[in-house]
Amino acid sequence: MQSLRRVLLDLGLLGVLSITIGFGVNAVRERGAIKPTKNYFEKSAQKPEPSNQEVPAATSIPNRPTPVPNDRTAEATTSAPRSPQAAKTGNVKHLQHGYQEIDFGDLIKVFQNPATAQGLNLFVDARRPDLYIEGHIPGAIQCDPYEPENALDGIVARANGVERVIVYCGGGDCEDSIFMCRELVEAGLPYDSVFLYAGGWTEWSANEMPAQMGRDEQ
Amino acid sequence: MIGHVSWFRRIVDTSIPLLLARVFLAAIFLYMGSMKIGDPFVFLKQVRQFEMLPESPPIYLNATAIVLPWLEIITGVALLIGLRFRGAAAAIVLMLLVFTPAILIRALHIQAEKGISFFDVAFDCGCGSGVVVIWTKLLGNVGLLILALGILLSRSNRFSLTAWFNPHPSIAAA
Repeated sequence: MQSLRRVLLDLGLLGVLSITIGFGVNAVRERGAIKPTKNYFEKSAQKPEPSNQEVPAATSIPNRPTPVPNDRTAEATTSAPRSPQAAKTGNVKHLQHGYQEIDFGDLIKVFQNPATAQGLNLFVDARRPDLYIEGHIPGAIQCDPYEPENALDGIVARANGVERVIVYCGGGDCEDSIFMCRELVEAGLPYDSVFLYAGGWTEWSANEMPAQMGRDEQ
Repeated sequence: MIGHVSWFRRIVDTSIPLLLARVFLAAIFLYMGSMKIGDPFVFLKQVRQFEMLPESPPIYLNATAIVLPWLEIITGVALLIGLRFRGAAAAIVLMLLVFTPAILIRALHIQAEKGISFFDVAFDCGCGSGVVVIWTKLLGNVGLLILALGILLSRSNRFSLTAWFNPHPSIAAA
């Protein structure tokens, strides 16, 4: 009985120590600090902006791709999954979101459009920096949706006046591009200018599209 | 048979098996904890995948990702130096009893989704060792559980700071 009490006391002490050190280190660390009350997995933006106030209608923007259904769950049940990874895992229940999607065919048109070279279409890579360095869509800006603070201001500044901001991550069941879309909309970008490329890097690289390596030049 | 028992007893009484178990468990948990501390958001996503905690309010998931790696590190240190090490073993038993069934349940879900053999199911369980074949991970966890229970139920404080601070045998054994 004495031993049990001692073990429980020690267990409590170790628990309190872990909580203290864990939250203490989290409070002072520069990178990888988790905000305890932030819902990192919320898909819809907290301040949705009415699309009819901020941006012109989709038809008024030249070469704007037609938005595709934005519920990947519905899509997965009615048509072929858009990436081999999604087909393999079948894990689509997390992938519902409220953002416009751009498919691979439309993305190629946008990529090859001279407006993109002029900076009128912006690509945002929501993958980890090491994956971004290994290869990304040329011109894409890397921004971590879990720690967007460093890159977000730059993206918002550059997105001013652009036609589309196209966000992607690894593809398949990757959700980081959805969370990045939320961050962009919450930072002030209008819903109608934010597009999600669900095929992501997996589809882009599988189709041997141009890739750029190295760090963000911005 | 009696000869075998006394031979086994003599080895246990040296406290060397206990020391080896403590060092082994400490090394495993120090390694796993340090891997998670390096990239907390990767661990946060992995904790979420188990669907054991609600996403809203987010404090449960976030606090788990903040605290759990440090609990692993601190239990590892406690086992290594031999201070409050039975409490550390109890913490490890609790963690294994929570996460091992969670890993099993997720593996069964993935098996059902992919329609593959259970022995081919592999994913990153957030354990700090990357993508692993799950049946080997479950087997390993059972081994760790046996070691932690052995430490928890042990009576000796030899080779530990507990013995150094409290050398009186009757109190040390309490």
